[in-house]
Amino acid sequence: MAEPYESPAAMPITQDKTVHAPAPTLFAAAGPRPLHGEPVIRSRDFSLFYGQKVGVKQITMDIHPRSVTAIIGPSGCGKSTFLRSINRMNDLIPNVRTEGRLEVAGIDVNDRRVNLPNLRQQVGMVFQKPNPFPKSIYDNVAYGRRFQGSRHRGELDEAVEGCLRAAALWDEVRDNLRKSALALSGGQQQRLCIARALATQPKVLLMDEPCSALDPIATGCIEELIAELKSAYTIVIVTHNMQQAARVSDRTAFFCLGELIEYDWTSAIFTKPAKNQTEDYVTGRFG
Amino acid sequence: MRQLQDRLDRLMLRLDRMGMRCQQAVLDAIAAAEGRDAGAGGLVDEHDAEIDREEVDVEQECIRLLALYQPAAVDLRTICFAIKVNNDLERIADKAAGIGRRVKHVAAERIDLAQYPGWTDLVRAVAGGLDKTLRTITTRNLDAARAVIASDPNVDAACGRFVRTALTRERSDPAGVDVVLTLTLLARALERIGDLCTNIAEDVVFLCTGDIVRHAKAREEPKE
Repeated sequence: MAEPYESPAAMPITQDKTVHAPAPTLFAAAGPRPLHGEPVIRSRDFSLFYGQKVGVKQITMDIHPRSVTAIIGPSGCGKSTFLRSINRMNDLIPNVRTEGRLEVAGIDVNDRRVNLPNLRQQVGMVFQKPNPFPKSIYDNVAYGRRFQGSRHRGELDEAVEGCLRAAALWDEVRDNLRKSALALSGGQQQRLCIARALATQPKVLLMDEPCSALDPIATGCIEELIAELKSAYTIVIVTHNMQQAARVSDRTAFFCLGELIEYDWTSAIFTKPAKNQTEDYVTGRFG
Repeated sequence: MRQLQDRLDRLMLRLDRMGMRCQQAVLDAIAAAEGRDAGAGGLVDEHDAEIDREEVDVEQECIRLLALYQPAAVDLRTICFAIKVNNDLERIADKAAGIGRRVKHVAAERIDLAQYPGWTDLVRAVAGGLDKTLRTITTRNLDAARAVIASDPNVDAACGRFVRTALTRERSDPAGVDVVLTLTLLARALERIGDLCTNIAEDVVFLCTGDIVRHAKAREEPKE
């Protein structure tokens, strides 16, 4: 068994073994779309309880590296609970307990030996509302690297530029890196939060409704960014916007009442879902 | 999304009515040709403009529904289905209008279609297929749609037999060239109606299952 998070480098991630899944019929012309490597997130009968109340129930699903997985479902269906379980953000809530197994890169995240700060460096998170630190743009991005022990100025500069470029923000802020992050627009702040999450070189990026507080232009920017980031990161996004899920994700999981109802290629979920419950939800007849 | 469902129901109803008008146009055109009634044939051609207008209206409604509701799953398939079937129905009406225009030649050349072996079989295959196809639109009956697809070779064969018989009969008569041309064009129009029925039946399969069954063989072959 792999060692729990002793250091970020301890996480064995992608072997470049490509899995070809059958192309959904509607998109057959595009040919089979590859899923790269072994699943980076593997959930087996994973359940989470808030005291007596069930948050999510026996979730079994695999999430492959370098792909975008959307989690959709009505309010209270457990999608954010599941997302927050991946980097154990639910630990902050009292009386939470889990059952089953939830692995990131082969390691059970609920193993008591897991080093939580390291886990959260490996599994970055972007929240609904942009939450930059009340610091400069530079310091926001450099924060994670400094936490990891990086002190060399040149190295930090390089990392900050790289992350801001990856988050498609560099050209807009390159001359104002010392400006307060709070002075940025909502869309820029959210991209800054993505840059900050990327700074710790995570393997997985969790996004909990990252565009719900943004206007359509900023939303478009984030969606384009997600499309670019998926070549290097595994992204899991929770969204209430089904068009957004359809646009940005490769695979979609539909949750309802804490259960995983259907998990398939996004094109299949939005054109010919296998379950009536999914069809009723994506067509707006329920939820 | 009750509003969308209501609009989809109305859309399918319009498609159904359009199908009935097209069917009437085909039957009227055939009757005009068999009765050598150029006036009745001309009427079929004139009425085609109404079906053309209806086709545009239905298409506009489909575009509006796509833009306003961004539908998914069965709703998306229904609208895609409507767009395609709408187009195929309009083309069926075009073929009926083509037969209607050709009736004046049938009358001028005094062609008695009933005298030609194979004509009745061809008409029966096409009219019967069209009727079954239009029923599948309203009933969404998968088995019936598959039966229509399977019967397409029968229409092609009936058309081939009719044209060959006509050629054989008129070969000896130098003046028969015009007759053969008219008969061939009538047969081709009917054969195309059969093909369009197959297209519609394939779209019914798509509507019911989400599977595209068109050109299945070609898609199975590896690309060069």
